Amino acid sequence: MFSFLNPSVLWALPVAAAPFVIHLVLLRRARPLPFSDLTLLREAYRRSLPSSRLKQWLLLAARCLALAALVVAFARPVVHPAAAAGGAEAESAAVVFLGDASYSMGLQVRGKTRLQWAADAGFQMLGRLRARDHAAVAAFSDRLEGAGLDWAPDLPSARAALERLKPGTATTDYGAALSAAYRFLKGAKAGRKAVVLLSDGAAHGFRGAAPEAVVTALPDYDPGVLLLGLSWPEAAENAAVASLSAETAGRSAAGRPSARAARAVLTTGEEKVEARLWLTGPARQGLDASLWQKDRREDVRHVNLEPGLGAPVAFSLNPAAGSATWGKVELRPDALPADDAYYYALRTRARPRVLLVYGGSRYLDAGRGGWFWTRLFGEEGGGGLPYSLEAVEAGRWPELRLGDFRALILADFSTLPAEIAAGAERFVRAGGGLLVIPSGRGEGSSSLKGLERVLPARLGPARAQAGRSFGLRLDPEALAQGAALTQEGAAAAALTQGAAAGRRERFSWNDFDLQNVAVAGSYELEPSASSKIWLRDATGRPLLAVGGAGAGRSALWASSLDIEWTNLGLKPAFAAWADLILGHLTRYRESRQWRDVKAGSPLVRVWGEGEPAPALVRVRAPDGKRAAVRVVDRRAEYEDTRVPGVYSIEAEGAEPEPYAVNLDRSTGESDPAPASSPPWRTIGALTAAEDFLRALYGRDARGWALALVLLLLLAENLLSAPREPPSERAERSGRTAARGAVAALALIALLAPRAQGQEGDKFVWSQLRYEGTWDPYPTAYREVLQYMGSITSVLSLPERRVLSLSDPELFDSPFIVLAGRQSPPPLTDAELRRLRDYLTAGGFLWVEDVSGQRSSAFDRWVRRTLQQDVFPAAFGRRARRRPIPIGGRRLGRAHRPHLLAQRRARRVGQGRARQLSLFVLAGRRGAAAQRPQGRRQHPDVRLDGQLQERRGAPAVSAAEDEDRGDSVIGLAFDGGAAGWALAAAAVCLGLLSWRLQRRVPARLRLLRAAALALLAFAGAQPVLERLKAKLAKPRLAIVLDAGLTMGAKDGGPRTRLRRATEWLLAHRREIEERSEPVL
Amino acid sequence: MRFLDPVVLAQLRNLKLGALRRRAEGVAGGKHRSVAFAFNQEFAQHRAYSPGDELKYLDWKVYARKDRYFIRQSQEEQSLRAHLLVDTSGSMAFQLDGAAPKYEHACRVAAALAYLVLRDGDAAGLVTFDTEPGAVLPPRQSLAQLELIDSALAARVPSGKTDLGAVLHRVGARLGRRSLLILISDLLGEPSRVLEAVKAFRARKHEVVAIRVLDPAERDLDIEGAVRFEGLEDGETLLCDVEVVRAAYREAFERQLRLYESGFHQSGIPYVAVYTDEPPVRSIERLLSLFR
Repeated sequence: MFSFLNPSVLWALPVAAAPFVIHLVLLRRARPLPFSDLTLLREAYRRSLPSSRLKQWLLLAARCLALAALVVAFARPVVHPAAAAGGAEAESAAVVFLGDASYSMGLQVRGKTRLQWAADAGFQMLGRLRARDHAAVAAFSDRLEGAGLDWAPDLPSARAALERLKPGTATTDYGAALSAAYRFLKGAKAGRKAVVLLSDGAAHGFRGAAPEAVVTALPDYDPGVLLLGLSWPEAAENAAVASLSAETAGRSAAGRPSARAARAVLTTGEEKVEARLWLTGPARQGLDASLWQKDRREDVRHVNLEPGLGAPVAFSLNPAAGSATWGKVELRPDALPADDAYYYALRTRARPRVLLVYGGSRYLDAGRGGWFWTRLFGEEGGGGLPYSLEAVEAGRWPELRLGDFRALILADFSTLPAEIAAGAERFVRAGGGLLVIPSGRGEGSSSLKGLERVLPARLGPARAQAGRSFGLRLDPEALAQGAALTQEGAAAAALTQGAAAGRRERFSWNDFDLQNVAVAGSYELEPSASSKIWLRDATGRPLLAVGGAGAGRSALWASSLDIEWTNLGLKPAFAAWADLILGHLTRYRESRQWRDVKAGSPLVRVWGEGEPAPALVRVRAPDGKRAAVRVVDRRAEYEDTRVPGVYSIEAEGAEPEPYAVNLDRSTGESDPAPASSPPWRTIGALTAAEDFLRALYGRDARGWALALVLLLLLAENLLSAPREPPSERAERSGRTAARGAVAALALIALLAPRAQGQEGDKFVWSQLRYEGTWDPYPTAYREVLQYMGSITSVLSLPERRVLSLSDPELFDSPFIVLAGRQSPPPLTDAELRRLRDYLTAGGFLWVEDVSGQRSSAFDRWVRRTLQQDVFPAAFGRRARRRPIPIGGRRLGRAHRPHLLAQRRARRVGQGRARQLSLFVLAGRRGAAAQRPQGRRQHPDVRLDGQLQERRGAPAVSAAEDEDRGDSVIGLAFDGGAAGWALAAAAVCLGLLSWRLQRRVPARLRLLRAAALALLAFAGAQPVLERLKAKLAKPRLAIVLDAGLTMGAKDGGPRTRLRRATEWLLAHRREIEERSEPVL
Repeated sequence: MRFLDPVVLAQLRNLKLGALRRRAEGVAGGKHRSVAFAFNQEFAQHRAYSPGDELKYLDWKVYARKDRYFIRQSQEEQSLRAHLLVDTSGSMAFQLDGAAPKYEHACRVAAALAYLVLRDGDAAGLVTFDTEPGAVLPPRQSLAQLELIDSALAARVPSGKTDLGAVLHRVGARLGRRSLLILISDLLGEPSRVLEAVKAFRARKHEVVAIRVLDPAERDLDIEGAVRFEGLEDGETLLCDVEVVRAAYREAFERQLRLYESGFHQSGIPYVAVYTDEPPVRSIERLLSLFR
């Protein structure tokens, strides 16, 4: 079965009868020729009937068929697989459109996101469906989104569903979506089933598995279902911040505490933030990565990136202690802006305050326990440990506000006052931590009266050791169950140890010679059932019992810290001992909390037992949305985190807590590179309709039709080749015709690549490369193009074209940027000549001096070069004395460079022009189509008026093109390898035909050559591009620079901006008469 | 003169009829006498005066009696009497794309041959014919005869159809004495009849030379496209695509050509086919080369 993609071409089918008609007409209109004698002719005519006339009819048939096949080929025939019997149902198609809503679909391609392109492709494909076909549309990311798949009742609703597609924040998982689609299609009754993935086809969507395997392993996989995916013409480039890690509080890259880092944190409060960047596409130089803290840009790094994951970029961050900070590490926005920022939120906690209440008044004396405590925590009560200690005598108990402290140490009480005991018990039950250190005076259990209910053990009688009991043993079970040091504590302990022994920076209990810790005296401990023993002495008797009561925790040390009882206070292990206990009691983990949440997963804030939980919190999203979230079971959850950014959770009376929500980078979503061998048939995202039709309904038989044409033409050539020797006249004219044909072929060969180099009607930012700093701002063009794209309708290629003066492409680029800072070496004669040719033929040279000085070396070089070397004749001697304004009037009448123009400045968007110097956009003068080499005459271009500021300063100019009415048709080839093969075959046949037909008069040979040339073009799938439209008036976009430099007065009374505006107003009428300006 | 110009004359200067002449003489068998003695007063007949006749042969006595001019013709002894038999039938008018018609070529050849004959002091006469014998110029020895032949040829416009066999028979009947007959024609027609007629000349002891004048187009038929052929003689038409018939035509033409060649060869008649795209002198050279 056949159908045609271009059925209208079939109207040309009657043309196929042309040879026959021509034959008849020629016969009818046979020219009369008086001939001497007809006898022989009659005889010959009679005799030639059987063979010659058959041959003639065959020839006619071959010609007719060749033409018919050619027409059919142009109608783009599509061969259907033979439809199974079964009527309409078997004929119908069921198509599931799966729109990829992962964030990588936000990648900008030619001014639209990939998702928009994909949706457009989807529209086209929907439009190709027939009335009896069904379509279902759904979005997917890492799962099928929405309410699942269902057939769209009609075309508009399917379209609407496509229109609703929006890039989300999730990652891609083809497997999940395809699984749902296959399951859905399983129940569909249709002759043809297809799944169309409107996706970027990126490799990351397979989650690292082999693409083929992902699909075939699906439970409902059906090989009969046609799987289609989009292919994209441009190789995507993207830079992304792939991850952000903080080297905080002594955690080194390996995840273990690092003493040095800890000391850095503790002494300076500085954070080291490491960002890792990811790049797809060619290597980039000078990528800006900037660190933002709150709303300020703190730091910028210029990074050179190679494709792939780059080396970490380190920033330092100075968060204020005890509060929260947030911000982001950001790249300049590129094609996919979603992943160019990585947010962070850091919450720093204040050090937990610990209160030491001692009973004996001399507890702080040297050698006593209090002395060791205060010595450990240093002068300010801080020291290396992350706590602040305040030591007060029991007598000041009534003045204390226990609520300010996280832990309480009761030490050295011979008898505990009931008041203190009751307060301590309340404190523990409310969630505080309590450490009791009995006094060294041997009162035993009686001294702790009133605390029995909260303590983990009962204190037995004191037990003086006969000898010295050495050794402190850590209960291995306790270690396993979380008796661990805090990071800072471990680091500090390691530091104290490191100072003594061998500078080891990693913490390990084994470093501490615990066997040398002597516990000379201790009390018996009678642990309660729920308590745990963390430390024992060498003989295995418990020394430290840990337990809890109510919401709080408590610990009991079986000895005193006085020097008579134990030498623990003298040992380096004391720091570790203190941190172990206090860390447990205060529930302190780390001072800095990085909060990083994946976009789409909920924000969860859980209030610990020790802290007061509010009933209601407010969540503020980065897009300004606010929501109130109820706290249930000390837990608040906020679901709507689709927008990446910094969220904050605010509780009544508390400081807002920031949460960074980031897009999930773990699956490589930032890498838009397509899978190398996708398991689906690809259809071009920009030529979706035809490819889809072809894929769904059949194969393209165009190539076969063309091949048939070739065969028929070959037969025709063989049939029509005469056998007699040529007459001399035919030979001579044949040679002429051969020359003509060769010339035509050469012309075609010349034209074809040129048309290809044209890039359609898109504006190409072409930058001139020369020796020296030709590219001072490698990414500036992106901003310019982006800005131009946002305020005008000019289409531009996202990537620039870098040229040298010797490049042949130079003449395909009507707009060339020459940027620089320093003076480059002088140009060679050849380069100068080409520059001159370029400018005189209408090229536009945009000179950008980035030095920011009034007269830089580059500026002088440009002036000198243009003036003396490029256009010496135009300037003459007099001009040499004064500098020329670039692009200004002084370039001389004959040599005014043609201001370029990008033709499609149809309308300028609503956005306000605020930036940039100036673009003059007018009808293009077909500069691309004429090869300027060797031309010396100048295009008829008038510069209507220019207000030229000094140097590269912004100027306002208006240009008009005289011959704006003409249009240039360019030709591009789109046939792919098969097309070129066909074209090559046609050329071969042409040569063969030339050889075969050498005895035929030139007219006929030329006719054949023309037919073959037509075929060659058809094979190569020519695409006619209208390079320039007819414009009634040139469109002119005037973009005013409103940057800071426009405020310069240049010595006059008015600013540059003012002068530019005045000029515009003064010439307003003139400009409007000549063009349609849009400001 | 129309068919002879100084250039041709200059080219003809180097040509001699020698061999042809000797062949004709051989037939005459020693009856030839020198020109000086050939002048014979033996009366043969009277005939009407026609302009250009030499006045010395005017029979004044008859004029005195009848007041009319008569030429007294005497029975001359002559070594060579050459009759130029020129075909003026319609087919001789064939021409293609502005090339010279066959008739013109035939006339040029005839004139040149007449010149050659007359230059040697022999007599040359002319008979034109289509369906019927037309102008007849009896052989004369005078160079003035050349002028007469030329104008007689120029006066004829080729037309009408030819039955070459029949007309040659009639022409042959009129030729009196044994002579050299130079037949200049395209010889289109039934070859057997033509050959028969020519053989009849031989039977009467005439020496015959056949020159076939053809257009290259008649040989090659290198015409393109569909053509309605109109017969120049019979006025009939044939509509056909040349491509279709070309090969067969060439074959047939070749066959005819060979038929003539063999036929003439068997009869011992020198025969040459000349084409209008070559200079007449070249045609004569080819003819004379047969006798070397």
